[in-house]
Amino acid sequence: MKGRIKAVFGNMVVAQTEDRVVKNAIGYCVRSDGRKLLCEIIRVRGDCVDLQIFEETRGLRVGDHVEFQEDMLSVVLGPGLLGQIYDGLQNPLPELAEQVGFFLEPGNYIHALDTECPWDWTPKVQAGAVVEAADTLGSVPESIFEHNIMVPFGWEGQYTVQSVAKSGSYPIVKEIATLTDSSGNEHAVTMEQVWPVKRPLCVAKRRLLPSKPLVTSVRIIDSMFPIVQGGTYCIPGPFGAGKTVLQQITSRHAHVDIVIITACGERAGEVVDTIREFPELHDPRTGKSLMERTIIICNTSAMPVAARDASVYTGWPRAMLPSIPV
Amino acid sequence: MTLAEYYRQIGLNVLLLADSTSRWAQAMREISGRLEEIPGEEAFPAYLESRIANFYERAGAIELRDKRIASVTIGGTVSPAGGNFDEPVTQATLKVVGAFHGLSRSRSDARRYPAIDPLDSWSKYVGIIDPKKVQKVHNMLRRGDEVRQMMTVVGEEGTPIEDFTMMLKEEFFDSAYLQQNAFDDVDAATSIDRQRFVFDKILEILEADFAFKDKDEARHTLKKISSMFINWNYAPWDESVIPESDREDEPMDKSVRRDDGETERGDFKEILGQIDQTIQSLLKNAGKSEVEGELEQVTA
Repeated sequence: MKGRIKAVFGNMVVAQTEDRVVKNAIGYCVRSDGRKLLCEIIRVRGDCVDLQIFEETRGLRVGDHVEFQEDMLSVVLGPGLLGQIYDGLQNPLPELAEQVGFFLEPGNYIHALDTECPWDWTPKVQAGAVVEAADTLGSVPESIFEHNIMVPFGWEGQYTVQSVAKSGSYPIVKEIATLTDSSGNEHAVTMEQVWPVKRPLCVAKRRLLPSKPLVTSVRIIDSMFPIVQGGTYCIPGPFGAGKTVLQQITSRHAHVDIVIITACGERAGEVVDTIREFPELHDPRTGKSLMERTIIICNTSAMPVAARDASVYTGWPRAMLPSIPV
Repeated sequence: MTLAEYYRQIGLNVLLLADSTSRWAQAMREISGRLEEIPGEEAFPAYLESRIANFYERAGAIELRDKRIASVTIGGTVSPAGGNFDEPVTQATLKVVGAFHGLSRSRSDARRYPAIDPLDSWSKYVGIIDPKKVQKVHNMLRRGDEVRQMMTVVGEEGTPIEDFTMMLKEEFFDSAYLQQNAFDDVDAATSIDRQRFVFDKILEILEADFAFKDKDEARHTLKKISSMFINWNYAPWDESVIPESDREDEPMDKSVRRDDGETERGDFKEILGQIDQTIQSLLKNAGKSEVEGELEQVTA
């Protein structure tokens, strides 16, 4: 599906197309030098499409091509996420910096997970078993956890396991199981799967009322203003009142398995500080580096805003990096 | 968010720290403005509240299909311009979250960390301490603050000693319990059992009826107790003070525990002994002076 740019203003682009495009689908604006900038359809009016671009729009011209895709903005899920530092579009920042240098140009995208790194696969089902979405097929060890490999969450109905890979080392792109659906079609399962960020991901028997206290080891929180596992809380505070410090203490001492930090729209300097400091912090519970159970997603205040909106949904910030020193 | 949900699906407990939701809201405002949508309050789009609600709605504890329980907890920061909590983003967030830790500029300027304002903040959840006890302390904090405000008008002279003591007790609780030194290895993290134990001890003092002769005595005594407690906070936790059956802490990984070669840290039990002694002697004095007072009345 194709379109042509009619107008560019800020991080928004208006394009004209004759194809039937869907709201929230993604696309690429092709710059005259061939670079493709990721964008998302946020409004469709007749043959006019409003797009938000996750990158600097500098260099885009009226008449440039837009290529529309069918998928929604998605993240890649699989072993290898822990310990990563991503930008809002799930580009691993350290790898990106290695490939293109510290000052990033728009239009660089890398696969979020290492596709070559082998994982020690242990199957947990046998051929013939009947499974549903989110059922565990096997597991690989990741950091201090058992990372379960599940039937892709979007698959509906029941599936029969036709074959499962034997124990051994495989990269995430290798097919590790074949499932057959009720009408006999075969589907391959790998260790990675994608999920659209704006759709809640929750395959569960039931939702529980959160009641178990989440202990943060901060006295004023635990004793006076407690939070619970599965609950929500908010820390409003003026600039400089210590929000970020409080978050760091919480992420270090809170009794949870995994911490995901999303630094959205903060000053670049602070983000760099976080990235530098975290790997050096020790987890008081495991004695290892705190990064082994942490994922950081960041975009700075210098990045275009469109980014931030979509970013909230990844881990959180999903944004672009015109020039972020990593 | 999706990453957090994915790990919840694996069966883990995830904490998502979102810093900061205000910038996200600003981004929404900018895009909405470019789309020429009709602006709402402070030019934020009309759907600001529903978007924020949808985001926090994705937190939750769930029972997986294999009966394991997993959760995603969201902690979002908001940076309201000028510390004004009445702006739309803060207000929209307050409607949907279960706890509110309002940071205050005046507390952080006064070097009281963590700068969570004990009067503004609230939580709908039940934590590790009996809610009745927490309520008692809340009332006391409020009362102490009232007295302080009154005192700025009438001066120390015009404040009755009971009120004055109340205010000192509030200050004591603040400095000995609410404040915590993030840079100290021991004080930075307080375990569940320790919090319960120290909280009870503090409540004992807060509820005790010390009849002080004058304001100077009151001030000196509470200052003394307060510094004892602060030293106590720095002392490594000794789990033997509570019976094993009541303990809830996860056993610490011994390899992580540093050998403290430091000598300036006091012994947990020793300081506890000193504190108990001080309380006892104070109560005894108080009792005596009351009896003496009655005697005087009788003789008069």
